[in-house]
Amino acid sequence: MHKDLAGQDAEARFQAEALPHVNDIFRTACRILGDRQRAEDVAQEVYFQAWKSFDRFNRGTNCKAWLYKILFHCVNHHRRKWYRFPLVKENEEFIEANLEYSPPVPDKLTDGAILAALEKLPVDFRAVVLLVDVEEFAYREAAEVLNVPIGTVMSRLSRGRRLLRAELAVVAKSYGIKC
Amino acid sequence: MDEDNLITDDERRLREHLQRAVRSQEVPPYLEARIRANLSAAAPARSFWGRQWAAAAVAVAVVAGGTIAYQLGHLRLTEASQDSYIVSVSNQVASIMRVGLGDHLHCAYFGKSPKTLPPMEEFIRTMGPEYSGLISIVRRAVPERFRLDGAHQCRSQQRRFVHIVFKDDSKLISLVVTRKKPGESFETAGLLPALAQSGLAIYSVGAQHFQIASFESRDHLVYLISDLHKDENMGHLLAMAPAVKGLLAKIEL
Repeated sequence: MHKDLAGQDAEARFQAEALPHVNDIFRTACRILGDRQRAEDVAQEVYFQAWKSFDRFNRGTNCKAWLYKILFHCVNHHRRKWYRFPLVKENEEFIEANLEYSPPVPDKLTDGAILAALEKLPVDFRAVVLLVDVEEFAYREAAEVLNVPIGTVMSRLSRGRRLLRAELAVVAKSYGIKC
Repeated sequence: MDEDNLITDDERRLREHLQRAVRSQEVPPYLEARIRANLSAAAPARSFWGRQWAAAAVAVAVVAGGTIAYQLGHLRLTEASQDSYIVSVSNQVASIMRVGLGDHLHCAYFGKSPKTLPPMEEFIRTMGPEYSGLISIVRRAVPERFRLDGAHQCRSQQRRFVHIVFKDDSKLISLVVTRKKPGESFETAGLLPALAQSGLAIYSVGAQHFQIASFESRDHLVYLISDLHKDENMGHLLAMAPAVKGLLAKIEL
């Protein structure tokens, strides 16, 4: 297949800017979906969608954030089909039941224990924790990726972190580790 | 606003723990290749279609026609791009090694895993009674973390294959067995065995991140193909070779 020069340039730019984020996209998809096979499918779909609409990507802006926006669009589309994810119940009862105490993070936890604790967070809190704490997006960027107000990102992050610490404390206790 | 200054030491520690844990997860080594293969099959959308109404009308017609052509062409090109990848990898090995590698790439690497595995009885049925014993032989030889992902007879490159696939979170292992065509042999193909075990010559070759270890019985060519380390792949073939050869010998009687 012959490509014109513009096509070659676009392909080279896409490969240079977008492909380095394949691993991050896959890992985030995995943590959100909890299923490697589906994460593979979604990662491929993200790149296919991104490539098809690469002309709409503003050169010089954050390509990783753009890919994550597509990722969460794909995830939201699929999770309605694949799962019955309980949406976050941000009512007082939920928060009171889960966030009474915020214990310190135990020292000697394995990666597996941390991932297991992360898995227990409601998916919308988990998404914000992954975006801000793991992928180090700014609040504003995370808000754009998730298409929610920045205040929502901040409150979900705060609650997500506290829930995570609570889960980690439970795991640590089960291993006999002191906080 | 420097958001990093807003978090406590404890939160920073949690963040580091989290990053380490999430990044410890292995990414399938074939994922990027698959994405590249998908990309080469599709062109990015273009936004410029001219300004005049007449041009726009022509453009609409072109888009409509192009969309149909794209849809039809896309399907062909997706397969074509996979085929071109298979050819480019296969060209790195001798033609007799391509036989097994091609089936692995076509069937296991680019093939889609079933969302839910059928029961073992179904695998045994699709394998056929004479070859179904290979499943347990491979099961015993590959590490516990690998799970059976497929076992069937398939047809590709004008020949029939018996194909068993095991996978873990990021690696694939295929045992591919096919009947020899007249005159076909690793020995007559001029390959030098990597080693000989109990009189059985084992051949080994690598292409990109794929490792192929193989041997032959009287009427069959046997390949173990994976993205494991060369020694690991060879070790698994050595572990299963006597039992596989024994089973094939019964078929060849």
